[in-house]
Amino acid sequence: MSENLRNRISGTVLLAVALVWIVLVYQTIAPSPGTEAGPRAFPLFFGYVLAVLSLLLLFQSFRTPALDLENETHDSATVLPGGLTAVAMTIGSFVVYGMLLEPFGFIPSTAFVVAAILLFVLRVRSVLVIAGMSIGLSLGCYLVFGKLLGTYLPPGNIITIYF
Amino acid sequence: MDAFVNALPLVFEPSVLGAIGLGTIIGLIFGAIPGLTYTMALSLVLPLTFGAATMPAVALMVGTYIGGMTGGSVSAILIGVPGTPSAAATVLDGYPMRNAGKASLALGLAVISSTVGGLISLFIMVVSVDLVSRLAIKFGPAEIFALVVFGMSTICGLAEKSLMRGLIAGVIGLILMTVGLDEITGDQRLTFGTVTFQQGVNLVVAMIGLFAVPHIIQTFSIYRAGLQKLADPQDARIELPSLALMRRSLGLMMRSSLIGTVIGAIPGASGPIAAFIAYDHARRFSKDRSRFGKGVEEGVIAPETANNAVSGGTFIPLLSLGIPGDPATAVILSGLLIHGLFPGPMLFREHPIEIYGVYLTIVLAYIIILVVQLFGIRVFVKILLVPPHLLSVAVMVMCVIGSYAIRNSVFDVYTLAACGLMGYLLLRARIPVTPVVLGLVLGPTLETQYRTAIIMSEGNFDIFYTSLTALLFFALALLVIVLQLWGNMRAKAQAVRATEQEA
Repeated sequence: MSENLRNRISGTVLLAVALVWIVLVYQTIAPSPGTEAGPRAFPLFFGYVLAVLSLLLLFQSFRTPALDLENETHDSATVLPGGLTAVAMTIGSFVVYGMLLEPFGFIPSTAFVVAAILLFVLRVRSVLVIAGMSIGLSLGCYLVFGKLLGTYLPPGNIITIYF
Repeated sequence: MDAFVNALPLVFEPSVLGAIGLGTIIGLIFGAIPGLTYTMALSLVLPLTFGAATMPAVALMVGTYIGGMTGGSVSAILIGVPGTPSAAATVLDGYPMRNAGKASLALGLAVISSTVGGLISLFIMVVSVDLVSRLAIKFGPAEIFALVVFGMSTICGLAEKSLMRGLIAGVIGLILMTVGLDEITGDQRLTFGTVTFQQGVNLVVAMIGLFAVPHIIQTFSIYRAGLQKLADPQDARIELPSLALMRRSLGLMMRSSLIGTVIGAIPGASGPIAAFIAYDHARRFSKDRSRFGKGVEEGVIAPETANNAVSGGTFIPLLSLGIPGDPATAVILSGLLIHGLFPGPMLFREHPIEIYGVYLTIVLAYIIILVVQLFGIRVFVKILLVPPHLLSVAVMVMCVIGSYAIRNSVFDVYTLAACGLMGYLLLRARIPVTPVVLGLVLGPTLETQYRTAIIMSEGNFDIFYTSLTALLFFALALLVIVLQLWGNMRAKAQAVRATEQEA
């Protein structure tokens, strides 16, 4: 993907986000008559700034000549390899983790999510690694954070109710 | 002098030394793990001090605070995720140093810089406590707003290759922080009537999401593509910086310490601002700016010195006026009050021994941290030997623990996932995430101070240009922007000339 095309897509998406944001601010935050420092002022101002900057990014992408300077100083750190699968699976794992955390408690949900990530995301097939990581991480973190450092970790509603 | 002599045996009691040691270890652990803040550590150790005598109690809190401040750099360098907001600037060059096989040197630099910064700031604090506190306390909302504007101007320096995209990132951070209850009026903003949205976007959660989740996705993707390279075991050793490097960096350390101490003394403007300003200062005055962001030693020294120098600065308004500069010192303040130490001008008259005890405790805490880090760093560096994809699974669990533990809310875990996805998409669009964090850190202060100033002046904008201090900060911000734009234009012109010559 060329730099200009990337900027056009980014500019369009960000402009849409800014416009939706501005509309939402107008619709949900009441104005404060007689003051220039009400609760609506800053969200609205930032929304407009984002819209203007997105437009500038768009214009810039059409004005930039074929000579693309940034491609020459290509920074590999900002270009992440891998397709949509890894992204969807990682983000999905966080969501599933969040969903399991309170009903099932920290230890079972951690063991389950870690095992699932190793099996499906990282395609690890070693039973020893899967068992060691899922049991070790869940129990280890529970002992260190929950017991030693006193961090609150959810005990699990289902477990608390039935046991 | 009598008070100092009397404080010495008090501080060297085994219970006090033990409390400092325990505090530093707890602080280091909480500081090193992304999401577990030292403010949280302080909140957890505070109840432990209730039954203790004054000095061990103070020592435990001071040790935790300073340990936490120092520990953030460990994860910033080793996994590219800052353990604390103050260590966000350390990632910029600390992580590239790690990727270049210089993790041990980066860690060594961070430890030494932190200790030097902390001790210089303590010295500045002791000798100039009256002067600086008198200056800082005169800062009203207009001056703090101007200071934050100056802090925001560092976005120009953090924007990597495109100022436009850097500004977009900064505004995204500012926008995110407006969600939730309005701090001044209590009005709901973009909450859609839900209770969970009233909490707003937690800074630490957003920061973990922006820094850690794209890192996890990247590691998983690399592993799935079969491109993963295991860390070189040679990385796993301690490397203290050479004397020549230390001599060369002494000036930068002194200046960064000064930046950290002065900013720390201003309530509301704490570690992250100091670290970013010091980083920007180091970059701006470097002979070769292009090396910054690619793993240059000064990029670790400046932020680490400054963010630890903040500790001395924050203690100035805390001890002399009872004003906490950040959430962590607010917890310390409550601890002092519980133990009968009421900060303010009378504290120095009524409890001189305890005050000198606090000073000595800070010195001892830094010495203990230096020793613990120098030997304990071996344990941290071992992380390098763990395959990155397995380490990322552990990081993922810790991110969830850190996000959940802040407010015991699953909402924060979902926020983490959302911020992570956003961070990934921003990186794909070549929009840097560091300015987003700067916007997140400075956004609430920027808005609150501006609105407070306007309310105080009854809508009159004179308040911003009648203060010499505010004008000075605005002028500095303008100078930074102009210099950056000029630098960008010059670099582009040079690149065009070079391309034309090649053609």
